[in-house]
Amino acid sequence: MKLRAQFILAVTGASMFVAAAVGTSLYTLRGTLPDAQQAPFDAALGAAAGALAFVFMLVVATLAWLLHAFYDRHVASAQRLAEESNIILSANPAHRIAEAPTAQIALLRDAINAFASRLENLGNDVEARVAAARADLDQEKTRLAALMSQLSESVVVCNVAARVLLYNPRAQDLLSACLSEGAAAPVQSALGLGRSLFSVIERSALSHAIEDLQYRLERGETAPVSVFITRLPGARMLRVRMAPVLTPAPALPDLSGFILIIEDVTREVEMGVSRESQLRSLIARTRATLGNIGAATGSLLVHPDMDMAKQRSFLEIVAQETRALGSEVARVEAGYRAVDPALESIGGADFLAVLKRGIENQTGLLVSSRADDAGCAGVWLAIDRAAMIDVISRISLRLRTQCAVREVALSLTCRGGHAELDLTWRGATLSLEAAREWQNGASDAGASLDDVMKQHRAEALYGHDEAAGHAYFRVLLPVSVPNEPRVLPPELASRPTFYDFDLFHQPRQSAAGDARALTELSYTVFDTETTGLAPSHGDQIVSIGAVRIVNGKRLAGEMFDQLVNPRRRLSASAVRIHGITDDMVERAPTIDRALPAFHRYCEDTVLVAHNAAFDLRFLQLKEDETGVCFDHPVLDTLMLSAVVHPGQADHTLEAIATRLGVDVVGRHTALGDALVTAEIFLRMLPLLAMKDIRTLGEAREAARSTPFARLAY
Amino acid sequence: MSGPQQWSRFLSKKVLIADDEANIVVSLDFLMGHAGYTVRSVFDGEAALRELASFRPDLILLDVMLPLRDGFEVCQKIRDDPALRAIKVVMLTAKGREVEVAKGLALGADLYITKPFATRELLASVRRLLGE
Repeated sequence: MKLRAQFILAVTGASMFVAAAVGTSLYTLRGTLPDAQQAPFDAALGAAAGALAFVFMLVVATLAWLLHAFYDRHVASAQRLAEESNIILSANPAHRIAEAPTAQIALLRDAINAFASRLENLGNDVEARVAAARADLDQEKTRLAALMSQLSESVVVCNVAARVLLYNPRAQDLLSACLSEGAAAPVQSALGLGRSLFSVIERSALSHAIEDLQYRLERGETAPVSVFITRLPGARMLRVRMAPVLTPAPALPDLSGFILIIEDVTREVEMGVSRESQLRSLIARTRATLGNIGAATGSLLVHPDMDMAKQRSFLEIVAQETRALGSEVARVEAGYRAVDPALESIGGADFLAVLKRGIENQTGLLVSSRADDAGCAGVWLAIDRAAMIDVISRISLRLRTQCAVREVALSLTCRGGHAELDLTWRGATLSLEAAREWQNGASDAGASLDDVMKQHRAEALYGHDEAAGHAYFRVLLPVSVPNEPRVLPPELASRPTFYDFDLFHQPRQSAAGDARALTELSYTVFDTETTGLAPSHGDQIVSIGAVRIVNGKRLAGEMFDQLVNPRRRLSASAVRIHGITDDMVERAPTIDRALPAFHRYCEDTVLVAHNAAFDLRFLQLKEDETGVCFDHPVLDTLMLSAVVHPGQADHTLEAIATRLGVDVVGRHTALGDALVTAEIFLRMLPLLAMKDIRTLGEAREAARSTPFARLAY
Repeated sequence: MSGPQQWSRFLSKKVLIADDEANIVVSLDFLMGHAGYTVRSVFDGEAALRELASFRPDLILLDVMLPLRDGFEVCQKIRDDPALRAIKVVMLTAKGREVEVAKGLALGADLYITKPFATRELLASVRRLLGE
C-alpha cells in the first residue's frame, strides 16, 4: 500500500511540474509579445485549449507509464528482493531469486543467491550432523514406540494438566470404539496429542484420581496408584489404573504427569451384576419354595387325621413346588459362566494347535491333531493355557516313559454345550487304579488333573475302546463365548505409538485467547471439497480433511478424513475438480453426523484454512441443522500470506507452496489440501515473527488489514 | 417270613441303592420295595463295590458324590469288570451340569437323572431298563 501511495504521489508531482513548466513558458512567451499581439495569442491559445489538454494528458500518461516502469524496475523489485531474501532466510533456504530487471539488481540478486547457497549448504551440513547425532536417540524412541504398540494394554500418558502426550494404538482403538457407542457418528479418534483427557474420561473421576495421587505423593508415598471405574456415555465401563510420572529433582521428585492403563471391564461388571441378581433371585425363590413346602408338610404333620382328598392336595403342593425349584436351579446353572481371570477365551482349533506344540516340546512325542469339523471351527473355550497344557503334557510324558507310547493323537469334538478334547493312543491300556492315580497326580509336581478340571469347571475321564484298539484321556470342557473382538496387533509402520514428550513441559494453558503465542497454540488445519462455490445457494460439503498442529509440529497420525453424503447429485464440473463421485458418497454419513465428529476433532484448537471464509461459510450454514457451532478463533493462510508477502501478487495455495518450498501432493482432495496448508502455515510462523507478529491477536489484527479480509461468500 | 414272599424275593430283580443322603435312601428303598424289587442300600463307594460283588444287583441307583469312591468310579468299575458289566446303572445325582451328564454317560451309565426328579418317571425308567 505504501508503495502505491508513493507512486501516486510521484505521478501527481510530475504532472504538476509539467503543467507548471508549460504554464510558465506560455506566460513568459506571452510577456515578450507586443500588447497588440497578446489578444490574438490568447484567442489562439483558447482555440487550441482542447488540443493542449490532450497533449498534456498524453504527456502525463507517458510520464505515469515511465514512472511505473521505473518503480517496478527499481523500487518494487527491491522490495520483492527483500521479501524473497526473507523467504530464504526463514522459510525455504532452497529458494532462489530469479527476477532482476536491471543490471544493478541482477548483481545484488547474484550476491544474495550466492549467500543463499552458502546458507543452504551450511544448513544442510548442520542438519546432517544433527541427524547423525539424533539417530541413536531416534532408535531408542522407535524401540519404545514399538514396545508400546505391541502392548495389549491401553496406555495413555498425560501431563499434569491432563493433556495427552502419549498413547498407543490400542488405547486409541479402545476409547474410540467405546465412545462411538454413545455417539451419533463413529468417533474416529478419541485421543489426540495435546488434547485434554477430560473430554474422554469423566471429569470428576479423573480429578479425584489426580487429587488422590497428589495427596499421596505429598504424604510421602513413593509409588501410589489410583484405580477407578468410570462409565462412558455409551454405557461402557472402563477401569483406569493411574500412576504419577515423576521427574527426578534435587530435593523431591517433581510430578510431571500421569500414566493411565485402561481396560474395558463392561463385561466383567455386567457379569458380576447379573450373577449377583441371579443369586439373589435364587435365594428368594428357594425361601419361598421352602416356605410353601414347609407349610404343606407342617399341615400334614399337625393334622394326621385329615381326609384323603385334603392330604392329597397338600402333597400335590409339595410335588409342584419341588418341580418348580428344580427347573429354576437348572436354569440358573445352565446360564452360569465361570469368571476366572486366569481363563482366557480361545478358539478351539487354535487351542488344539497350541496344545499340540506344547506336548511335542515337553515330551518329544509325535502328536497328530484333528479338530472335528462339526461346528468346531467356531467353538470357543475358556482355558488357562499354561495349566491345561502342562497337565496334559505330564500325562503324555507318563505315557511315553511308563507305557512306551511313541505317538498320540489329539482331537476336539463339539457336543452342543460342551466340547470333548481327547488324547488318544494305541496299544497300552491303563488299569483303572493307575488312571485314577494319574488323574489325581499325587506323585507329580504341579497342579493335578483334578485341580485343573475344577478350575475349568471341566470333567476328565479315562477310557479304552477295545474294538478300535486305542485308549484315551478325555476332557469335557464347557464351551465359552468369544472375548470382546480383539483388535489385531497393529502394523508397526502404519500404526506407531503417538507421543510428544515436550508436552510434559507445556505450560498450563492459562493465557486467554488472543494473548497466547502462535507457537504454543494447537491448530486444526482443514479444507473442504464441495458440490460448488455457492454455499448460500445450496452447495454442500462432500469431503472434510484436517490435520492437527500441536507444539509447532504437524501430527502425522491424527488426521481427519471424512467423505460426506451431500444428499444431492454431484455436477460433472465438481467431479472434475475433486474426483469425488456419487457412488463414493452414497454410503458416507450425512453432514448432520459428520460435522459433530469434526467439531469434536477441532475441540480446543484454532482453525486454520486457506481462504477460510469460504469453508467456514459452509460450516456456519449448517449450525442449525447439526447443532454444533464453529466459534473457534480462525486464521487464514491466504491473508497471512498477504501479511508476510505484500509484494507478491499471487496468493493461491500452489503459489505460496512453491514460494515456501512445500511439496504439493494430493491437490484438490480435502486432506491433501489441508496437509499443504498446514505445512505452509508452519513455515509462515517464523516469517510472521520477523514482522513482530507473535500472538494470535496480532496475527488476527494483521490479517484484518489485508485486501482479502473483505471477501465474503 | 411266608413262603410266597421268599419266592418273590428269589425271583424278583435286585436293586442296589448307593447314596449317602439317608433321607432319599428312605424314599428310594420304600419305592423300589413296593415296586416288587429286592432292595439293598449302601452309603459309600467302597461299600457299593463290595455289594456289587456279593449282592449281584440287576440295577444300581448310583449317586455321584459318594464318600471313599465317587459314583463315576463305581460306574467305571462296573463297566470295566466283565462279571458286573450287565448291571444297569442309573446315576441319580445333584450334579447336573452338561459336562457331568456327558461324563456319566461316557462312563457307561444307562441313565443319568438329576435331582430333583419325578418319582413316577424314575419308576418307569427302572422298569424299562429291567425289561419289564
